Amino acid sequence: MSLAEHQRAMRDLIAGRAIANDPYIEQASRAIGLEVTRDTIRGWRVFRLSQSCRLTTAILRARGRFDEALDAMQCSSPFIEELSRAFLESAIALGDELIASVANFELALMGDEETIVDWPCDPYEVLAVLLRDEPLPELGHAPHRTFVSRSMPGRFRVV
Amino acid sequence: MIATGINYEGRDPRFVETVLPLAEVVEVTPDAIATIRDGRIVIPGETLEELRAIARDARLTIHGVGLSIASADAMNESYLALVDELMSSLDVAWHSEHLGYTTVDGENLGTMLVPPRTEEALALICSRVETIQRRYAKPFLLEHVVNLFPDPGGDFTAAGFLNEIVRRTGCGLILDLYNLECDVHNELCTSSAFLDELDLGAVREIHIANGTIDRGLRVDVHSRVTRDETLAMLRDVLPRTPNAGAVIFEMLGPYVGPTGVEAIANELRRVREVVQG
Repeated sequence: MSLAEHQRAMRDLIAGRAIANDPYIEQASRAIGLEVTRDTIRGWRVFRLSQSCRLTTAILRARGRFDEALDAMQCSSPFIEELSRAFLESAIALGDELIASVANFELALMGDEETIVDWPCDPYEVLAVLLRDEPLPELGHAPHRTFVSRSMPGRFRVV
Repeated sequence: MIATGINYEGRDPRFVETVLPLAEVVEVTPDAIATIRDGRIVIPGETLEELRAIARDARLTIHGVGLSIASADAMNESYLALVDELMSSLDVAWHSEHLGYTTVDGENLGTMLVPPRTEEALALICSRVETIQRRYAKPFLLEHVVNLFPDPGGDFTAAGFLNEIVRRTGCGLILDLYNLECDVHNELCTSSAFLDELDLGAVREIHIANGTIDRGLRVDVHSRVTRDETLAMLRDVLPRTPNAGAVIFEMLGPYVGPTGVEAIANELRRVREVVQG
C-alpha cells in the first residue's frame, strides 16, 4: 500500500466507511484502539459543542434528540465556529419547531447580522429553563418573535 | 540551564496571573488560539496583544497540532498561514509539530495518526521539514506521537525513523515522556529500547503530561498533573539530553478549570525542582 492508500484506508476505517483489503488495516479494524479513537473523537466533539452551543445542546437533550443531531451533521472541521454552525443547522433540520427556534436563536447570537427568530412559545420561559438545566415544562402555543442584534444591549428582545 | 514552561491557550486571566509567572517558556498552539472571522481563520488581535504582553517575561514557542506534516496529499496551508501570522507578530524562540497526520485528502480526522515508517513517508516528511526550515528562520522540532493502533511498521524502528529525519534535515526533536509512557503501556515499545536508540543529542525540548487509561489503553488527553513515575523518568533522562532547552508541562485548556490553576502552578514548581536537580 502506498502512503496515500494507507492513510485513506485508516480514514475510512475510523469513519466506519470501509475496511480495506490489507492485512494491517484488517488488524487495525480488530484493535481496541479503534473504538477508543472513535469514542475519543466523538467525546471531544460533544464536549466542545456542549460548551459552544449550550442552549441547543440543552433543548436537544431535553427532547432526547442530541445524538440524532450530532450523527446527522456533515462537518469535520477542527474549528469550533464551523462545527457549531453545522451542528445548529443539523438541529434545525430535525423538524422540531422548538428545537429549530432555539438553534436559530443561537445561530443568530453567533453571527453579525441582525436576525428575526420565530418561536412557538414564550422564549424567555424556554431560555430560562435551558440555562438552568431544568426539565422543560408544558409549553402552550403562544407564538413570539425575537430580534437579535449584536448592537443591542442584551443582544435580543421580543418584538 | 534548562527552562520550565507550560502551554497556554489564551484568554484566561487567572492562568496568566497564577501560572505564567512560574513559566520561563510559554508554548502556544496556533490551532487552539485561532478563530474564524469573516470566513477566514485568524489569530484574533486581542490574543496577539495578550501574547505580546506574555513575551515580555517569557520565551514564546509555537507547538502545532494541525500541520499534518505526514499527510500524503498536502500539509495544511491554513495552519501555516497561522504560523506566518504569529511569526511576523511575535518573537518566537522556536516552533514544533507532531510527527503525524490529522487530515487525509483535506478531510479532518478529528485525531492524529502515525504514518508507517517507510522510505516513502520519510522522504515526504524530510522534504516538508526542509520547506518549513526555509520558510521560518527558526529552529524546527518534531515530536513523536502516541499510537492507539497496532504498530504500522515500515523500514525503520520508531526511534530510527526520528533519527533519520534528524540526520537528513538537521531538525531537532521533542521527547514527550508521557507519549513514550503511553506507547510502552500500550505495548508498542520499551522505554529503554526507544531511549537507547534515539539520538538524544537532538532533543531540544522535553514534554511531560498525564492522561487516562481507557479500556486498557493509555491515552494522551493531557488532562491531569503528572504522575511521580513520569517525573522520575524526567530525572533519569535529563542527564542524557545535553541540548534540551526546556521542559514543558502540557495540559489541554478544558482541563485547566477542573484541575485548578493552583495545582498547575504547583506542578510547574515540581518540574522546576526536578530540572534544577
